Amino acid sequence: MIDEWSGDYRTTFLALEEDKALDNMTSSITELSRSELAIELMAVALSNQDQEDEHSCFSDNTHRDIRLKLEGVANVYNGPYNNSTDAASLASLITEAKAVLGAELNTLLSTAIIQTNNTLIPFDLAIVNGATITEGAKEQLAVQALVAFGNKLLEARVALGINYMFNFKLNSSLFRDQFFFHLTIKSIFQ
Amino acid sequence: MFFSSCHTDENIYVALAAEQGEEFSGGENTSFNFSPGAFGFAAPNLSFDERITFGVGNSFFNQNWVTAPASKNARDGLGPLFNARNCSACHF
Repeated sequence: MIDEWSGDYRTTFLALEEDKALDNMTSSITELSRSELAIELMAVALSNQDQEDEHSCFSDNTHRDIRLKLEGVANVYNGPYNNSTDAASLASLITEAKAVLGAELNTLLSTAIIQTNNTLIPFDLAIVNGATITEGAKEQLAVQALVAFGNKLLEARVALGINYMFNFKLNSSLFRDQFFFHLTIKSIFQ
Repeated sequence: MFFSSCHTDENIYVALAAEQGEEFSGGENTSFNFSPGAFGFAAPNLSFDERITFGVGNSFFNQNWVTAPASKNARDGLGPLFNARNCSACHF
């Protein structure tokens, strides 16, 4: 375990091919936003209405886990390096590729942050009465906003040219050939 | 003496060609995730509610259970005899 944790991911990350690095960045925040955070951490607990499903049940710190995970997503997306606003980021790259999509994603991320900050602290009191009662309904809105952001981010993967499944869905032979090419290259070098 | 030959027109070699979409073994739900957890993701075409249902089932499957009666109500009912405390300990 020490070996696994002692590596310098910055070095590994910077050595990646550009497409692979973008793939890692977008797929990780997509999954964190719409699956791990929204579904596994929030929606499951809200559905079971049980403290047992809290991420940090004993420390009663789940509300903070949720907010910080979302901050992590926003950090990867907006790349606020020491509060500098002119640095390159995933957000600026997506906006450059498709301005409308960039604007939509900014709005969806802001909404997710607002809805998440709007949920009751502590978390167990927010989920105890289920998704239809006042505090649970706020939690549900946050879940929906996080899922919406993650889903939209999948479209950005297409705009950046790194999503194979969406290419398949377009059912174009050109895209299919590109996919095959990517897969072949991948299998050769992995 | 009897001679036979394989050189008939029927036996001309025809190269095998993949059917359209054959590379996507799971259709629209084919995954290109190569990690150890590749089989643990929800199908991509689930609706919002179905994804939540998947999440609930997935947590029941992966998290540890305790023997009943216990101090908690969620995930008790294990045993009386058991090899492991969660489904995923054996099934995957």
